[in-house]
Formats: sequence, C-alpha cells, structure tokens
Amino acid sequence: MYLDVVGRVPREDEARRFLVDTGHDKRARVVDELLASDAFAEHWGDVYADLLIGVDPGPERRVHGSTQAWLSEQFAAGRPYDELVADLLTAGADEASVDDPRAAGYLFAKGRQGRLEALTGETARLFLGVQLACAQCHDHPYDERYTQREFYGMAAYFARTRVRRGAGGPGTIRIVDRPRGEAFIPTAEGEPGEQVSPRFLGAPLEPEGDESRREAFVRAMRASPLLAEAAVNRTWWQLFGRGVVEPYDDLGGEGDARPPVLQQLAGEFRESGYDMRALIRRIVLSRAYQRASTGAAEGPDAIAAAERAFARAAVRPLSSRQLFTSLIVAAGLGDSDRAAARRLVEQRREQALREYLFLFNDDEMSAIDSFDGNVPQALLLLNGQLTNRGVTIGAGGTVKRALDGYARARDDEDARVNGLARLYLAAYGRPPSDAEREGTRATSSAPATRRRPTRTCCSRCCSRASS
Amino acid sequence: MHGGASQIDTFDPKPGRETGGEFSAIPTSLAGVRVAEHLPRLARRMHKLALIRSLTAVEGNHDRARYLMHAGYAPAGGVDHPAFGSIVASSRDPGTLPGYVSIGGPGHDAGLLGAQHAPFVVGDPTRPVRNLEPARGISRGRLDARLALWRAQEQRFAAGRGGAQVAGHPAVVEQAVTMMRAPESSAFDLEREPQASRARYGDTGFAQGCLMARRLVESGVPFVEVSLRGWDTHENNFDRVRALSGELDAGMSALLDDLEARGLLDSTLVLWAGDFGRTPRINARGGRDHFPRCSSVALAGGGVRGGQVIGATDADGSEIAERPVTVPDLFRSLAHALAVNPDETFVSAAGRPITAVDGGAMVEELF
Repeated sequence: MYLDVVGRVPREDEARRFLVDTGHDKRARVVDELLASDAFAEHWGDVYADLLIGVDPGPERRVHGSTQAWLSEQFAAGRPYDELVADLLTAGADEASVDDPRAAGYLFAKGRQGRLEALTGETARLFLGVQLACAQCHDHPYDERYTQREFYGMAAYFARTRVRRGAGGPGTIRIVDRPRGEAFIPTAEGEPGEQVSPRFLGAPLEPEGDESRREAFVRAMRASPLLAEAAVNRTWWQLFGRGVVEPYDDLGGEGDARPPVLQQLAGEFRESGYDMRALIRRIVLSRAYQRASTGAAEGPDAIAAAERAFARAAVRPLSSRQLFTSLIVAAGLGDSDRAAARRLVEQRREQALREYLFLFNDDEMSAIDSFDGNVPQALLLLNGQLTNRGVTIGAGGTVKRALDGYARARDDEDARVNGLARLYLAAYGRPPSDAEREGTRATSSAPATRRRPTRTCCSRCCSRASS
Repeated sequence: MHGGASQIDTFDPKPGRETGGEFSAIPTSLAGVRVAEHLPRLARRMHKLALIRSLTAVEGNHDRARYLMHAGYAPAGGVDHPAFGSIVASSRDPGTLPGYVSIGGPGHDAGLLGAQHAPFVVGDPTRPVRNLEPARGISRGRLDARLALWRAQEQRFAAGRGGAQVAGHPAVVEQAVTMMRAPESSAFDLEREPQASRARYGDTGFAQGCLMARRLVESGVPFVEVSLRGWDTHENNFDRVRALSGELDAGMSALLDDLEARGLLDSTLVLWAGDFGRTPRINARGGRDHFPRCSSVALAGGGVRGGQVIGATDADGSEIAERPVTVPDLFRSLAHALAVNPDETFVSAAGRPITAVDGGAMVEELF
C-alpha cells in the first residue's frame, strides 16, 4: 500500500502504528492519509512521467524531471484525468523551456521533428489502449480493424503540429499548429503515397468550427469509452502488476466485451469526473488488492491461474525509484533533523538512481523495470555507496537505533529480540517470522556479533521483496 | 565509430578529386589499394583486412543509424530489436563474465531478449569498473556473512512463491557475486598489463579500450564493442579526423597484432564500423555531413579472408559503383562468421516474430 500510493515502504513508526491499530477501518484511514500527502502527488507524478516520457536517461532526462514536476502539481490539485490528457495533447507553446514545459513535455518528448508516427502509436497505446503502432508499416496482423489507413488517419490529427526549437536556442521549444499538413500512407518504396484524412478508430471525424485537428482528436477521445477503460486497466496493472485485460495497453477496441470489474470501475471513474485519487482508493481497498502472495494454490500452473484470477497476489519488482526511496526510509537515513544531512541523502539517492537507470536500458514496450535486474545493478546494490552507507552505524538511522537497544540489553533476550524486530519492521513493515528469527540467530554464532544487524538490513536491499 | 566516420578520409580516399579533401592517400600492404595518409599502421596490415567500400543504407539520423548498425534493423514502432551483441551473448553458454561488454558505451540494449543480455558498460577503460569491489571496509568474511543471510532470506521468500521471476533475481545477484570473485574479472584491470604493451596501444581511451577488449576476448567474453567518439565532423573535419585517425590507427593495429600473436585472430572477428558515412561534399565550415548512401566497413579475423576490397564507390564517392552491400547483408555475414543462426526467431512483447537478421544475403566473398 505504501509502495503503491507513496512509492516507499512505511517507516518503522508507521508500520508499528498500523500493526497495533485494531480499528476495522484502519486501512481506509491510512490510505486517505497517504492520498492526501505530498508524497502521493510526487510518486504518481514520477509514475506518469515514466509512462509519458520514458525512464531512459537519454536526452529526454530534463524533460522527464520538469514534466514530473508539472504532473505532481496536477495530482496534488486533484486534476481530472480527462482534462490532464487533454492538456498533454493540445499543449501549445510559443516559447517554453525544457526545464518548465508544463503540459508540453509529452509532445516535446514524443513529437519532435519526424516522430509523428511514434507520437501517434504512443498516444493510441497510452490513452486508448489500442495497439495501432503495428499498423504503421502494415495492416495489423490479428485485428482487421487496424489497417494502415486507421494509423495514418489518426496520425493526420497531429500532421499539422510541429515541435521546434524555440527562439531561445537549445533548451527552448515551440509547438505550432500550421494551417496545412497531411498524413500519407507510405508506398512500398517509403515515399508518401495516398493521403488520408483524419479518422478516429474506424470513422472519419473532422474538426468542427475553429477547432484544431488536435482539439478534434481530444473531443473524440473524451467521447470514447476507451479513455476511461484504458486508464482503469493501466491503474489496475500499476497496482497489481497485471491488468484486468492483458497486455494492459491492448484493449482491442471500442465496444469489445470487457470483464465486469473493468466495466464497473470504468463507469465509476467516469462518474467521479475522472478522479484518480478515488480510483486508486477504490482499488487499494478492494479485497483483491489485499491478497497475500502465498497460499491459495500449489504448483506452478495452479499458482499462475490463481494470480490471473487475482485470488493470489503476484510477486512484483520494485521500480527503481521505489527501491532507492525505500532503502533510505528503511535505513532511516532521511530522519536527520539537519536539513543539510537530508539534502545529502537526497543527492545520494538521485545519484544512485541515475547510475541504476543508466545501467538499465528499458524496453519501451514494457516501460517498467525488469524483475531480474542485471549484473551491474546487482553490483551497485551489493557494493554501492548508498547501500553501504545505509547500513553504516555512523550514519545513524535504523541500524544505530537497533544497535543502541542491543547494547543496553546485552543479556536481556527479550530486548535482543526487539532489536531484531525493529530491523524487520523498518525493512519489511512486519516483525520477523519464527523462521527468520531462528535463521538470523544461527548467523549470529559467528564471532562478529555486533555487526549482525547491519547485514540484516542489507539483505532487505538486495532481495527486493514484494510489497 | 560514434558519430559516423568519414570514409573518404579513412578507407575510401579520393585523391585528386574535389571531394577528396586535404589528405593524401598512401599505399598499403595490398598492391593497388590505398588508404588515407593518417592510417599508416593499418595500411601495413591491409593484407589482414577485408574492406567493404560499398555499404549503403538510408538512415541519416544518428539515433536511427546507431540503432540500425547495432541491431541490423531500422527502428520501427512496436518492436525493440536486440543489439547484435546481445544476440551473440544469448547464443553462448554463460561464463563468469558478461556476454556483451561495451567499452566507452552505451552500446545498444538487449531489447526483447531481456536485461540479462544487455551490454555491461565500461565507461572509462582506464579506471576500475564501478562497484566490482566490495565497499570500503567490507572484508571477504563480512561479505560472505551478508550473502549467507541474504540467501537464507531469499530462500524463505521463494518458498511457497516459486516462479521464474522469483528465481531470476537471485540468479542475477549470484552472477554479480561470481563476477566479483572470478579471476577472469582481472581482465577489466589494465594495471595488470605490462607498461610496454599499454604504451603500444597508445594512451587514449579508445586504444586502452582495444587493449581491454583483447583481455576480455582472452578471458572468453563473446562480444566486445569499443567506441571511439567524435566522428560527427560537421565542422573542421580534417583536423578532427587526423587526430581520431591517430587513435584508431594505433589502437586497432595493436589489437590485430595481439590477437594474431596469441593465436586468437582466427577465432575472433574484428569489425570496424560506424553510424554512417559522410558527404563527399565539403561544406562551408570545412566539414562533412551525414551520408548513409555510401560508407566503408573493415573486417578481419574470424574466418574472413583478408587482403581484399569488396565493392567500390564512383570517382567522387557520391554513389556506389560496384557491389552494393546492405546492412542486413553485412549482419548475415557477421552471423555466419560467429556461428549464429541468422534466421533464429524471437518473439516481441507484442507477439510479433523477429528473426536474428533482417533478411539480406551473405557477402560470400568475405569467406
């Protein structure tokens, strides 16, 4: 819940408070508290920036950061999702800085010169759950509705839009809609062939009055059930690691049969005025979301079936941001009263994140960190500065607090157990199981007893347990 | 060759023509074949090289061209093509070291093959590889204890959960630990190389990268890429190419010599290639612009018959005059040399089948 709503594990005190709370509405209270926090807006701004701009730390990194800031403002203000999407797609800019593009970041990242096709494919995929990108080069192999004509018909909505470097030189952009400009189906030789007029998923739809083509597109989108369905299915995917419909960004088309849960949630989402907080709250408080990742089935096939039916939670990797933010929270590194110390921790987090993302070139289709990670990432976590700083006693934080308790209670078995529980609470949000207590005790027979808790903490960082 | 090397100022000189530029051409160890004057060492080794002077493509944008030259496919919506290096890595048994190392990177990612075949990127070959050593103050015993605790925790986590994903992550961490402790990892440490040999390669990043490449090949790494940056010479082409040629000439020559002296050249394919060629026309700033239509690539070792030139451009270097070779033709030939099945099929995330090589026909003359 904490990981999904605010992008980090609960702090030790938060976990303790939740565990001792006996109210049956305790979960709802915590969710409301989290949804109202700055951390919620911050985290979901990040999640959407990854989605819209990509996690690749290439030339788009600056746009990622600045767009994330804008998105976080929108989440904080409770901006309706349909309006947010409309802003992204109709953003105009006489002159915007890459460092503050507001809503123009998406067009900047996806719609730069010569990338009209990428912009069309991404827009259909992200906001409508329609895989039109295949139809860029040929008619869709499995879905006869998606022909090249449909693809270029949608591209026609953006054919008059140009994203250019602004008068202020590099780092500034200008987005203009020109009076002319058309989309053409390329010939086999790659030359522009037949001209296609604007089409929205199967039917011609032209601008009305003084609407621009992009505005006409947004009007069609907001009238389509796909806008809400795609958003709900993707949010479900973000919260479960699997969409109600899989792949999460391939719903087929308008009018296709939907599973009842998707239908119902999409209806509620529209009626709420596209309220993202309400949607997340609804899903997070569902019984399906609260299932454990163990039990309910045995054997790989039965487990996979149970996970598909949401009868059992699928194990999910942490995103890189969740991982590093959680590392800092678990180690208690962000707890310092001194602003300078907190700034330093934040810098280290950013540095580790950059390094981690650099080591991982993401697959655009999945747009989320892989579960396995890769060798350089594992090395970074094993031997990197942030991880090892986190388990250094001198850094203060969780390890020091647990050790202090330890030292005071040299011969008091209960207190020793409490020290260990503290570490587990900080790292996993729960006390250790009997097996874990036993397992850790066995390791402590090694001579370097004093260092034992440090290692416990490291194991958390490397195991990337599910939430 | 990051940025796209000028073929006319390296391997396809046009002396005496207006497009020929400032450099003269020098004879090579191969009768009748000349190269630009700033590659004297490679000229003496031309009998080991097969030169293709007729590579032709249409991608004139750096990002798209790099994608093409790494993956063998032009970028297309919806499919994330793996780097050829990742395909080679995935076709070999995993060793203690990564299967694809990119020195001076970033290389190209493994796309649909998955992160375990992504390039292991070495930014600067003259500095220690990041995070390969335990953090300061962490002794071997302490690391062992940490790992024991971690393994037990992983095991408890995996019990009752299972699944490929849960098994995959610890496997990657174990791979990292293996690499930390493998004696072969000393291949990354150029301090272990005799000073004389380091000097022979030259003290530039690229040349030292070539040296690291040799050490990695000796240690069994199947695919190594070394990048030389700075070839995007829209301005001041000649001064810049002169300097870059010096780095290239020393580093690549020493690599060829070393591989041969160790008996590794027959089993190691060396390929020299870049984003694209550069225009025959010299622009007003003394530069050459992007020119995918004609470029040169050079190959050596790996069963390639050296001492030949394949294809030709016309007198000014503006058109392919003989034997055009496409990028898929080249990649099919690379697959042959490296015993990779060019028609092996992978399935993209969207369910689309992709073959290792995008069609093409092998350049038979190479072998």
